[in-house]
Amino acid sequence: MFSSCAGRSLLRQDKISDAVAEGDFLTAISLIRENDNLYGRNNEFLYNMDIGVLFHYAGKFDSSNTYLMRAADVYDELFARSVTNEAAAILVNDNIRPYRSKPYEIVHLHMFAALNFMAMGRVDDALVETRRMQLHFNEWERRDRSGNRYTNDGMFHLISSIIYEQAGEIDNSLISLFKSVQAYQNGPVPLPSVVRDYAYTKLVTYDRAADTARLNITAPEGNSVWELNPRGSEIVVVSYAGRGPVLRETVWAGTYVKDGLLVLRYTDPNGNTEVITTHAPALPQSEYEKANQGQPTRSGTTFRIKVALPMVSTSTSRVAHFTADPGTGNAKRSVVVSDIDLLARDYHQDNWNATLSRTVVRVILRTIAAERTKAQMRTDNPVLNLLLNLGTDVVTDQMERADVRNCFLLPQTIHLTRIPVDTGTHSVTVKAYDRNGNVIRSKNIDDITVRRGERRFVFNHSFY
Amino acid sequence: MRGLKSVVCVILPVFLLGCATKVSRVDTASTIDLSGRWNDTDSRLVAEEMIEDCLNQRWLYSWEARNQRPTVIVGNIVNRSHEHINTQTFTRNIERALLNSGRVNFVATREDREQLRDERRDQAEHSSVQTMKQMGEETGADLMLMGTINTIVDQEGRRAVIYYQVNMELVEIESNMKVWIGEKQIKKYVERANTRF
Repeated sequence: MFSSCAGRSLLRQDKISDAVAEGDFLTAISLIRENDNLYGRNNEFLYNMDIGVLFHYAGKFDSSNTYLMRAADVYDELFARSVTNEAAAILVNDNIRPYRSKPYEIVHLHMFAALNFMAMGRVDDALVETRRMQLHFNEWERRDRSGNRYTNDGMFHLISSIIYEQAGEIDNSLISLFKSVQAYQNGPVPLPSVVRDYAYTKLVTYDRAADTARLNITAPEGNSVWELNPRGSEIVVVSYAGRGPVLRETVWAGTYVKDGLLVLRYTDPNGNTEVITTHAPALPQSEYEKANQGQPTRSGTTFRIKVALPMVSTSTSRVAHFTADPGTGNAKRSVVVSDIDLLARDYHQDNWNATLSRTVVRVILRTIAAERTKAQMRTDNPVLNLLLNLGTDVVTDQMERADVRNCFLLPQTIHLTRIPVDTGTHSVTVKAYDRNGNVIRSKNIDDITVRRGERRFVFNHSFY
Repeated sequence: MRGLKSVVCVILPVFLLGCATKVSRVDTASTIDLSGRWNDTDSRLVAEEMIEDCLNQRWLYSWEARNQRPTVIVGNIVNRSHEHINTQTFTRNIERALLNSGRVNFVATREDREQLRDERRDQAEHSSVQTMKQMGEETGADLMLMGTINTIVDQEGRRAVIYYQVNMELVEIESNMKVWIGEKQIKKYVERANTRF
């Protein structure tokens, strides 16, 4: 029971990954709904988030938002920590706590919701999402004493800037653009040169040159800026590439059998195990004297330590970039605006000390409890002692599991392509390229109707 | 055995009550704030108070002095808050409050008018000429009511002050003259629990 939460993460990946890779998102949603054991009460956030993300990929924007809003509500409800759950987590493992989400997952939740609203033409509602996320950013900034943590997201502010522009709120659009550059400069995802050049030109154009000085950005050298016309129509292609990071368990375990063996085991995130077995140091003479006198000895007592920690596991994406051609032959190249691998690693690193401390405290408490149990069960029979001790070890061993839950349905990278177009109906050909410049996948997105001054968001994915 | 039965009779209902979802009817006018977010009470109170203010201003007396009753339409209520507020409910509250005052006429919203025009087009083809309703006989509105809902949130950890400001204005459609500007604020202090059992 205690290990089932950790096992569920792997089960979810096994069940859903193939359908997602094939782009069969509705089947993946059916699989989630049909298999009650994939999630459970403690993973309510993930359940709603995963289905919301899958509906977004499937282009069912309204359904996507129904689930994403529920996930956001779960996140808000989990503001109050349960004393019972926290205490249980110290005794058992972190999987016993409700999954609260990682900051970058919340950012993507609100970004997907905003994009869904934009795709449905509901600009006001999209702006609500940017304001809601801004409240989280404010709170994270307030809590970050080091000033080095992830408290803002460049991609989110960039998308917000486009949405504000669509709503005709140019000042707010420029503020979001400023925050976007600032977040990229402070965060793990590097500032794309196109975004930097665009921000520079736009801020200067709208009489905010002082902001460029604050951001320490200079005039673009080439002609790589995005379209600046705030009333111009454009198609914004949001492309998702590669498989997002997953968390895997790393285990360090050792059993010391007094008067017997010393077994050390290491299991890496890929499940490969190395075992070292040697003779344990012999018991002291006093224990042998006790045995000769028929008294209980510590012979056969096992001393077991197991530490399980989560590690970020990433995969290599075949997709290097995308191009989008609106039928003019002038294909525009995409820009990487978010890298979830980098965000996950950064989060993992930031929280490593806290995770490690909590794990160590838990292991120590459990080891003490196990040793006391063994002492109480000790008999005169060394073989029976050994069996009872090993049994206790097996039980405590099963309790120690790393919390490897995450939203593995996020893509590895998110790309943006902005194509200025005339008012009317358009078709766009989006191509995914590998690192050698070969086309991996080509897709036509038809019937994109763009009104005057509208920014029309369309979506594309290559989870290779 | 009788003792066991009586224990079961006492304990069983307790368990059943503990498991059941409890539902009770409450007065629709009662104020219940669960989350601190914009709710039905806010929507109703703001609509009623703003319309009361709107109807007690000089612009309406000048119409009444001419023995005329203005025709009003509710335009867009733009949500500029940080919450997904159902502005349609708010719009309906305003329509109801205006209409029930009996001092103004009211025309259907843009979406409703489209639906009604479809119906008239359909009648022109399928209804008897005696009963079909004519096209081009709609009543044009004299004034349009528009508004925005804004919020300012000051939040620190588990405490937040949420300030809602609803601005509305009544504009003469022909002249673009603003005849009334109304404002209503709601301030809420929300404190969330840090821990729970």
